[in-house]
Amino acid sequence: MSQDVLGYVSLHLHAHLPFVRHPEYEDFLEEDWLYEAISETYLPLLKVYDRLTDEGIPFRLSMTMTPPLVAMLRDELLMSRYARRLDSLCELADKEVHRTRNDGTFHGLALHYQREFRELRQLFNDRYRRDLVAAFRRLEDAGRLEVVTCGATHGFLPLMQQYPEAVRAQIAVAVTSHRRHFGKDPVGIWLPECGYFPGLDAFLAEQNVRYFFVDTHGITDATPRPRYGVYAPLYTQTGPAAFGRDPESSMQVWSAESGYPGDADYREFYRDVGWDLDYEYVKPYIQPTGQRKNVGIKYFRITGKTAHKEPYDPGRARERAAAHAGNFMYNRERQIEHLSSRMGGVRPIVISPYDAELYGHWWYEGPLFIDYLVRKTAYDQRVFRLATPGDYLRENPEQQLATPPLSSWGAGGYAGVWLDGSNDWIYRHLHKATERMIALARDYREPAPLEQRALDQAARELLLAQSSDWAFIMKTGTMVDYAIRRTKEHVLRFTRLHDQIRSGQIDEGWLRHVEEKDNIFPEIDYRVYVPR
Amino acid sequence: MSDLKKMTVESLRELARKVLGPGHTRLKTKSELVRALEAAGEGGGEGARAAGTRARPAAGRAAAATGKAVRAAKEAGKAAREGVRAVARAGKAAAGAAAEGARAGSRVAKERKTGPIGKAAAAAVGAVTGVAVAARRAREGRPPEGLPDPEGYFVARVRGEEAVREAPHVMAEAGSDEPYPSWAEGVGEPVFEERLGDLPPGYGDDAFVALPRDPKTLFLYWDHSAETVRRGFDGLDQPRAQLWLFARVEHGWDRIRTIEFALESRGYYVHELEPGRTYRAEIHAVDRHGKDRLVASGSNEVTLPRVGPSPVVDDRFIRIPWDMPLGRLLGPGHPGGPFSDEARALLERLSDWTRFAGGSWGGSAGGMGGRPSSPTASPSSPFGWPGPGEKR
Repeated sequence: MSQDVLGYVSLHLHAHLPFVRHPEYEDFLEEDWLYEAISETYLPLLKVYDRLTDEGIPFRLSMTMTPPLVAMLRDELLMSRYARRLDSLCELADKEVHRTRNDGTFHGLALHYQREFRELRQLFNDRYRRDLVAAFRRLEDAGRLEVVTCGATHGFLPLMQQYPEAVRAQIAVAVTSHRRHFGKDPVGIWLPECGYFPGLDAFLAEQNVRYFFVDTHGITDATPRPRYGVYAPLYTQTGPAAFGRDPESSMQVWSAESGYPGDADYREFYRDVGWDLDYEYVKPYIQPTGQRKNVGIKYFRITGKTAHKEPYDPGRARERAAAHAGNFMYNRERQIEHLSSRMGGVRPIVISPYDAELYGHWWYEGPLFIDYLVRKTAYDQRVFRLATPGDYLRENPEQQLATPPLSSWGAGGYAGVWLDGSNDWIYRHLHKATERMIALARDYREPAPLEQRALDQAARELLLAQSSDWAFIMKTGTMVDYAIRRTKEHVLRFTRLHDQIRSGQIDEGWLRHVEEKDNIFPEIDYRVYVPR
Repeated sequence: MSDLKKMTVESLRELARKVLGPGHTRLKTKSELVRALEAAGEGGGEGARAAGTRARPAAGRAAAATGKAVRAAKEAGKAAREGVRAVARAGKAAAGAAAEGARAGSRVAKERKTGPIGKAAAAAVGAVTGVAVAARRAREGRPPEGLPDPEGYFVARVRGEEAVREAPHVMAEAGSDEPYPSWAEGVGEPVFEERLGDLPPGYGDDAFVALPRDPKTLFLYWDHSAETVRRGFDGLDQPRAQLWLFARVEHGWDRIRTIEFALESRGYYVHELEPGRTYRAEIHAVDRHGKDRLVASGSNEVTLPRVGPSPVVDDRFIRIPWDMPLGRLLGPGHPGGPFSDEARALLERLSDWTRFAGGSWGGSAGGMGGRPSSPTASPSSPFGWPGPGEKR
């Protein structure tokens, strides 16, 4: 099968957001992350994928849908809030069309946004009926996407390796959640932050997860030394295959200096009307506190490295996206021809993983780039095929055995982002809570119904506290107070649940409140923490 | 308290740095400094006062201070074009901050052991600065500023930490342990007050944990009970704490470092270790005669990752049909066929990020920017990377 091509290119988008849901407030700042990502990444990607599918263009891509993201996309409260946000965006776009009616430079752009937002609203409400998870699932069922899972709450696994039960829970809970939402077991996993440590493969094998991703050095520094570099996967000792990130194709998109998203014709991320226009005018659309923020209407292109910006031209940007897709494809053709000639008959695979939110949210034209790349790959070349890691393993079941080292795709390549002077204080609390959770699971084998609820909620709180996003935010200094607060709240809720379970005095009213608030993983069974 | 008003701004800042901690830099004016220090109960030489007697008045003063500021904001707001809505916002901010201050104060009273000065001070800073800033901006008819743009989260993920610092809007905040002002995040009042309190500084469970940070660095933290420390140090002549670091050798462990350290620090990074080795640590109390005693038990063992291509070249391959369930150890596999060293070296070079040295990469946290290069790294590439304009 597939002897017609010399190799494969695997484009993987990792879609993830931490679980942010605050029903206790009417409106909450950090929920914006989800709403912005829906408008600028998830809906535009779905639009591209569905259009390609509707037109019968063959393609295979893989994508992570992390359990917290899936939970939020399936949450009625958050989706109704998003629908309101989309209405508000359409209202602002209408105002912009009116405001720029005599402005020859920007009126066309205002109309562009008006059309775009109306289309997003139609897609969200009518085509997808406010269920984007189902939309992605349909694409998987149609054979276009391979959707993989992640750690249950994106916990960084190398820093919990001394607690096998905690590692197992992150993976097992994710797999169960994936099964519930996508109707099948995930064939692969995006390890949170690509964080691997020797021995982790055994936990993946327990769940029959066939492959995972590591950063480049996770392959090149493996033992024994890999024969084919990152251009073929490695089987670990228990069977799951490790695929490594290709530096060259990654750089063409990621590089801050020379990556495609920095092209002068592309839309400038920072010049948003939320910052540029009269305060009173934009006030209804910015933060409820009155602080300005991006609202999604941007009239300028990158232009250059100075503050001077020229008006954005969607037509020109579209042309650049097409040119960049052609360039990307051309480079992969040459790359695969060269690799193939050196690999002794083994067909290489080039793994190109990206944060999904890079496409659309940061790089506005990113979804268009994918659209063009898929079309060009299907019709303009015969050197490689777009394939998922699962496709590769099905067609190439014989691979080298080796053990990747501890590694991640974070700055520095190891655990330094999540273990640093800014965030190392969290681990004594996370580890203590983990020990307590394991002890609870060991001691409460046949709980009463109320105890079972409290134990399940304790497991949810521990998982939420373990999200790598909190340590990442503390390190990068962005929404530090929120990350600290979330870490503390989940550990404190866990501790209170632990104490109440142990003392036999469970406060049912408070438990109900917490269950409603942190409602991720309704199917969870705390026994996943039982020591083996 | 009037003593504070006689001090210079410079002296007040120095005092605030000591008493209030990280949040003190948010206090811009003399009156803000005085109010925050007063709210923290700092009037000159009162540092040793018991937490319970300090926290309640501190909370009260914080609330009083915020109350004054709210009134000021209201008056100023009336005069400003911003009008009623801005004032309400400022008032809400003040009320939120004051409530937070009061809550923190009462927490302090209950938790005397958990650092009363820090908590009350943080609350006081939050209360005073939150109100002052909101009030000032309300007077001026401008929106609140200074809180980071939540976009920073995305920018950090897709562009890296450096991009956050270079962004045209404020996207980073100074990390501090004080509560985030809820008025800046959520609209409406929370429907359920959980009163979760704060995390304890430790658990006194004698934990001693080693974590791998990178190929050359271990992080250790410990959490000894007072009784454990007493048992470790009692009876020794002028004892001091030492960290003993061991590395695994063929038939046991070699002590490779002895580090004098402060037991109270509760955490320590051990740098410049040899990658790829397995380590563990012990804490010892050592007296001036060299007599030593192990404090509690040693840490767990941890193996640091190796760096660079493995010296082991042993190509073994195995076939795993897609429908074969996983879950058990695989066999040893079979040897791969012949493969030239030249091809292997070439594929190794092509897989090396250092070919693209000097760039900054994406990835959840910046990708490969700072990774130590492989010892065999080579910048050579058999095929160039044509830019968009160079295609064909």
